[in-house]
Amino acid sequence: MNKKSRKQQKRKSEAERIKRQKFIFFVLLTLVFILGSLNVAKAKGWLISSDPQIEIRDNIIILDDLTLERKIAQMLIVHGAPYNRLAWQKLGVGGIHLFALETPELFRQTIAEFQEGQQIPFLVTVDLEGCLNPFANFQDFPAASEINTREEAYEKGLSEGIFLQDLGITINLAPVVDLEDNIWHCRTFPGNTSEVAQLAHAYLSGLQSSSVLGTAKHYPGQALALLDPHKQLVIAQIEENDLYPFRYLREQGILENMMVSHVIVSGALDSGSKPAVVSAKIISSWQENFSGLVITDDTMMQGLRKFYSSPEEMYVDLFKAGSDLIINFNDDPLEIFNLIEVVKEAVEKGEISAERINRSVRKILLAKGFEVQ
Amino acid sequence: MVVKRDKKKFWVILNISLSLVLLLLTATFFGLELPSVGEARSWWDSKIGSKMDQTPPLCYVQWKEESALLDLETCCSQVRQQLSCSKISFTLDHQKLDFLCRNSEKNVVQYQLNQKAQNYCNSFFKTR
Repeated sequence: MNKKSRKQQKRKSEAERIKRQKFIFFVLLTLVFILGSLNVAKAKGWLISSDPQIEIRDNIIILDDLTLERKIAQMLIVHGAPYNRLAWQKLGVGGIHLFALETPELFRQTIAEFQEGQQIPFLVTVDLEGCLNPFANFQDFPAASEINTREEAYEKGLSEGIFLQDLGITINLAPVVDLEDNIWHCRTFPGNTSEVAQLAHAYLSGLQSSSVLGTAKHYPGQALALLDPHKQLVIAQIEENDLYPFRYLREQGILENMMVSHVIVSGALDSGSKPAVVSAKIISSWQENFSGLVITDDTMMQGLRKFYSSPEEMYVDLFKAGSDLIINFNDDPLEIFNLIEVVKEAVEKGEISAERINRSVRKILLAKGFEVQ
Repeated sequence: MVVKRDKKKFWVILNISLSLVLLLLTATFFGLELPSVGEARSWWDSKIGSKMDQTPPLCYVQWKEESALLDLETCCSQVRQQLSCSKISFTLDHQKLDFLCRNSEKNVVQYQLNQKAQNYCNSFFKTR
């Protein structure tokens, strides 16, 4: 009898232990589900809080109404991937860059969805340059290398401008005014430095006769030189000829934007053994006589990244150097959030001047059609 | 009794596994970085893989009749922007290539990659 009751007791406690394990299982499962969802939300940028709305009256933005984070975000151009739309909208980034899509309707729809409800609209950029054509699935354009006269260049700019404006694109990252293209053989205009400058001028006249802004690239030249496939850093000797098209377009007052490359340059222009895009000397000397926007090449490129021991160090240097718009095609909203936080900290520490940030944001907002006070 | 003991073991193992998953999820949520598979692959490539597979990653850009070997970084950055990449095996300059990436089937710029170059590009960002 005693033995039987002990057995019963044992069975009972065994059943209780299993019951306890089952309970722990359901608690753990719930926690896994909650944390899993939180991780997905975090990765998608859903946990990023939106900046407070600002008051925009009569199309006037008061610069001080923007938080420092919002100002830094306005200086970024990111990949306009629809899956990151909410994150980019919440962060209030300045621009989105679109890659190829199947149809014009898809471009229009994507842009409309991004711009919906935005107090400060996104700049929308594309790379319709030389022979690179993200619209090739439904629209052809002649390659830059096939253009021989100013009239043809103007016509190319005009038709591209009308087409881009119709889709809702605001900036075309073109024309390339590097003198040589030893890789694609179709991205640059043909001819000597003066002819390239003239053709680029005519192209920009055509393009900008609609409301689309052009971008001369890749300052200070030699960015399309043939690169050793196993090397990531491009080092080039710059001559006065390389600089001429950029300076000509600036002097003619037709240049709205200029893109600076990752090439380490010496010669007629010296970037001090670092990529041009992080050389304050190169960017500030250009900006002395330029009121337009200075845009970086994609800062995801290893050619630039390998130059730094950490992305954070690179972010600070990029902002310090003086570009107005930083292109970063990283698809991780958290990394873009991290970039903003790192730069914000550098501004608060005095490493980057707040005035320098304000100067760029003012230019960006003006380019978006606002008045800034 | 034996069945019950097994049942208990089953729940204990399940709970330990879930606890480990929970630990990983917590670490990820608080930004603790764990070595990624990508790094393991690059370690494998540099230490062992390269001894087994000597093929270099290859990426060519072609426009009309002109074609040139492209550095991998530029290649990946451009390939990512293309409308589509299709798996088509073909030979160029006696090199076997596996992928063709382009924006249109018409006569446009296209990028031709071998499997190794495609893998490299995918380790940075998903190409289409």
